[in-house]
Amino acid sequence: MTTTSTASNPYLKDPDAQLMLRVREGDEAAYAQLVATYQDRLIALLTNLVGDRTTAEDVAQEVFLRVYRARHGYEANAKFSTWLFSIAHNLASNTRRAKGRRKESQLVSIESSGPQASPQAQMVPEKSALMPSRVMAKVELMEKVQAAMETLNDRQRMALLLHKFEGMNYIDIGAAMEMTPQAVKSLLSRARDQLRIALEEYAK
Amino acid sequence: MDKLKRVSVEHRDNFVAYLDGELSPEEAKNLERVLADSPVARKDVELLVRTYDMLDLLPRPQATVEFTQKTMATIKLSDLKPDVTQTVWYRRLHLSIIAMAVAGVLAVTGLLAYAGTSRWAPTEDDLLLKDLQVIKNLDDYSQVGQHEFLKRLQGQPILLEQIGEEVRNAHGR
Repeated sequence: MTTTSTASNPYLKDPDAQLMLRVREGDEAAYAQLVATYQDRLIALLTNLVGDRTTAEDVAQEVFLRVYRARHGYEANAKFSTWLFSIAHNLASNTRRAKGRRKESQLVSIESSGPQASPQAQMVPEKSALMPSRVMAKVELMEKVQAAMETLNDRQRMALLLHKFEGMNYIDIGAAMEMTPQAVKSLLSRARDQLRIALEEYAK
Repeated sequence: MDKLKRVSVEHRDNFVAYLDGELSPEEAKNLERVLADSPVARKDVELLVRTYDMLDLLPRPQATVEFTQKTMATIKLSDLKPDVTQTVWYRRLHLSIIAMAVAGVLAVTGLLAYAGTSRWAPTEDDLLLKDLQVIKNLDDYSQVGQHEFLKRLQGQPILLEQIGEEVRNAHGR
């Protein structure tokens, strides 16, 4: 195994990349540390991508499993988080596509069995008559925001969440989504504009 | 009139990048001049900020304790049970199966095509079968033909003599 200095490879400065290199050498504790660092972030992101927490956890688990399986060939040629979220993006897209196909085939049974809570509504706390009005207003506003997010396509949603939740810049978002920074700029511009149109009446 | 000054599409497309700090210093300065001149553009930018901030309302559930345990257990299990789909032999087998499937499809297509053409295109045997009655009685028909010919020949003595001489000459040689 050849070692390169951080001068020649800036990604070696990334502490998570260092951890992953230890995982490559068989350090399981290092991997547990990575899981602990990223699990909440991943589940938060995925919940808002795939629509429900249970599916988000399943996808998150699959992400961690894939990263672990790829450990022998790991090279620190990007930020660890970029790589992780790139896998998350792919899996989330596949999951949403599969869900969309299942939804179509289940449409008739849903219509005949009566209204059911949408996946987004499952994330919303049940409204109660005892709930303070300001809390209810907040819950209702959250529903509006979730509905607005649903008007975006998968890529727009992912880019927006990476920017908002992870504070990633356009270069890092591009690396995670296999896009140029310029393409990310256009994508986010369209996404934010659409969000503005969907939410402006609630933003006053 | 300044209030109604239109903002170009290019400048509009830069609003979000400006808010995100992704414009170069020069681009940012240019846009700030545009915003200073246009209250409508400033209003739009303000709305972009507010609606973006509303994303803070989105749920951010945390991982359960069970999630961590389950994830590490799954990883340990994957170590015990290696992923066969990543092995060389599995991939070769997979490719072989695909190749055989393609060959199988081609073979079936060929067979179907052959069966189809043999069903509709008549063979030599089919044509012979069609004329079976004629073939069965061909000797009789040829006999009839010969009788007719001989009857006509009887009425032609000179021709008969010429033919007879030719036959004798042919046998004599």
